[in-house]
Amino acid sequence: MLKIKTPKTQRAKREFEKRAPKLVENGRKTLILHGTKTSDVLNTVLTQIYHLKRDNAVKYTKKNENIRPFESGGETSLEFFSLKTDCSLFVFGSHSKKRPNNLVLGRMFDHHIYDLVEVGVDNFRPMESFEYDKKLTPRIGSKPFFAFVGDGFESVEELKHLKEVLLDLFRGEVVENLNLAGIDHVFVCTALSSSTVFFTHCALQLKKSGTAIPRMELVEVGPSMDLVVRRHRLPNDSLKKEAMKTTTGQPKKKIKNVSSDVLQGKIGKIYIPDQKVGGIALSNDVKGLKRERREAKKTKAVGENEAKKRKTASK
Amino acid sequence: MSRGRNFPITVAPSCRREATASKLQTVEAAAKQGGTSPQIEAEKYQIDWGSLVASDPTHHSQSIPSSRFVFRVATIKISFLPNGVLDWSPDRAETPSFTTAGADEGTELVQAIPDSLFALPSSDDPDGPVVLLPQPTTKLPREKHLFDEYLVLSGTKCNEFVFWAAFSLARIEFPVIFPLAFSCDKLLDLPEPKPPTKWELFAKMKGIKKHKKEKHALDEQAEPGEDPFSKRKAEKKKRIEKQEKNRPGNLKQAAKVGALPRLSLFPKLPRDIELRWNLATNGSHAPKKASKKELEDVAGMAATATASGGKFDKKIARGEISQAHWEFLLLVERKGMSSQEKQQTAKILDQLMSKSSHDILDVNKARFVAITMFNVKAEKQTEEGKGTRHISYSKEAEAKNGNPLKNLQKRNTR
Repeated sequence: MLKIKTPKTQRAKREFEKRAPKLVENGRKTLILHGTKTSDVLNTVLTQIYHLKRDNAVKYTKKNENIRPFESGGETSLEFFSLKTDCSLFVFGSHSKKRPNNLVLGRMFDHHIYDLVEVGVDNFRPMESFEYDKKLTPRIGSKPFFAFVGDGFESVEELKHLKEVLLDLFRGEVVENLNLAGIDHVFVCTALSSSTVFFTHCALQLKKSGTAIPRMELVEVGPSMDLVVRRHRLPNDSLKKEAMKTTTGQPKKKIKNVSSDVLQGKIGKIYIPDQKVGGIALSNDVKGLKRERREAKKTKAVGENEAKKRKTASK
Repeated sequence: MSRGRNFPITVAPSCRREATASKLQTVEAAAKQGGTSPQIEAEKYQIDWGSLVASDPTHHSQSIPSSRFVFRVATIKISFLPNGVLDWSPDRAETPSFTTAGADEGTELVQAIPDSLFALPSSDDPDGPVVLLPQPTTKLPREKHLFDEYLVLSGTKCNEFVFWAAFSLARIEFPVIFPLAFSCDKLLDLPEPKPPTKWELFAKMKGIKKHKKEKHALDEQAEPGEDPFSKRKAEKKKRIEKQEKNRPGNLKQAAKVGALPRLSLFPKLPRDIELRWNLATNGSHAPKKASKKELEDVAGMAATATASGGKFDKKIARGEISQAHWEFLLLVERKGMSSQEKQQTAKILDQLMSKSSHDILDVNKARFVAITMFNVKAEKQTEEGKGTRHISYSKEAEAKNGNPLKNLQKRNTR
């Protein structure tokens, strides 16, 4: 999209405003697509991820042959799709002999690639293969818990990166109020080695315990897979700096004459300058004024006549 | 994942968080109050309550244990190692239950979060206890850049950022010519307010204020209870009824005076003379009422007053016009070609009908007719002509004159 499109209708304007950069952002949307060759396992993986993220994900079904996220020219398509669908996360699946069952998880900043993590999927178990009480199934849209087990997530750079990306992928919207009865599910990631992470999705069962705090029980429901980190690309420092910029931690500019009170809320002080009574302009509508003008005209006319008379007389 | 009812998760503006932060206990404080284990766990694990993340950095993972079996059919079995490595044993053969694994690391971790969350003061909602979460501690990058205004308001100035933003936009969105000599500080200032227009200045000087015109105006005459539109309708109806009652009387009156239009054949006289004439002949100003005979005469004249004498007009009944006119119309009908035309069209129609439907054609009768015609013709042709008319169909006759049916067929196929 090379030209600036200004919205012509109110509806378009509202859509634009939804997509505009904001101080408090909307949740990230995910774009799920694949390359020319995919395997069965990979197809299932992509569809299951889409189901996990149903409300805020877009799944493309076509094959995209010119998307190579790690190459310099191969990301223009991705950026275009991101711009079109307003997605800042993407999951790109591909399958080749060298990299079987390959998933590239990536993030965007301003619709340009920010960072990438390439993982291979091993030992994938789909959601259907788990047997559990159907009443426990988590609901779409509920906020998940996360559990990261292993010191690899702190020490190994690749795993640190993967942790961030997984968190971003499955976190959903950042909320302030949480309904504790709606806690449904948890994503558990275990660092098995310096390059492998066992990722699984469990439903939470709140069971009665002696105290007010219920006891959590985990029931594996969702897809589980081994993620083997293959490659990753971190953002450059300047880009990272811009992306991590926030307004928190900055001192708020003090606005003069405005204070806030707990009882009354926002209070402002207004200083009224002195009225210059003498300098106020009067309106034309006053009858007296009109009379004045008439009289003024009369006297002026009289004066003129007299002047004329004098002239003629003098002649 | 089932698409069930979503528990409401509301997102409130971040300013509310600041306002209530002082009032609410922090999660850590709540954790401390909650119980014995949460405190320990809070220190042991790293928990980000804002994004509901718990991580255990103290856990050491070893290389993939030998007792772990990996099946092609995507079944995993990890053994429980003494060091506290996670034991996940969902076995396809047995009922895969997570909870049979016992005190899982994962469960412990997950338990750590709600331990403190549930200790928080919650507002009672019909759907369940709603707690206020603190800000997430894990810093994740933004989706889109921050606008300058936000940075300006927060008291920072980033010239670098502005440059970068412009150039990054230039890559795909639109070409931006950004002169390097341009001072970035100017961009960061908020836009100046528009200069006041000439009218605005004048109004300010004179003290003229804008008054918003009200679209609604109070109707002084209307009563509060009634509907003026239905009232108007009812009034109109009444007026119409009254007029209808008065109309016959009015007409009578007008007739008496002579104001109604005449139905007579007399030439139109000037009004006053007409009235005087009426008075003289009838005794009142109204013209004399026409008799039946007069009307019939008039109707007859009107019926025959066209250029073709009423031949092509709608048929008139005998009683409506005078006898003379009616007879004239009859004559006109007979004299003209209309009856002949009728016969002609009837003939054509019959021919068409006979051609299209063979059911109607009685071949034997046709043959009989044809033969008769043929014989008559043959007899006429021969000079003898003995006068005997007998129907004969003989081979000699056919040999002499041809097949009599041939002509019939020809005629039919025309």
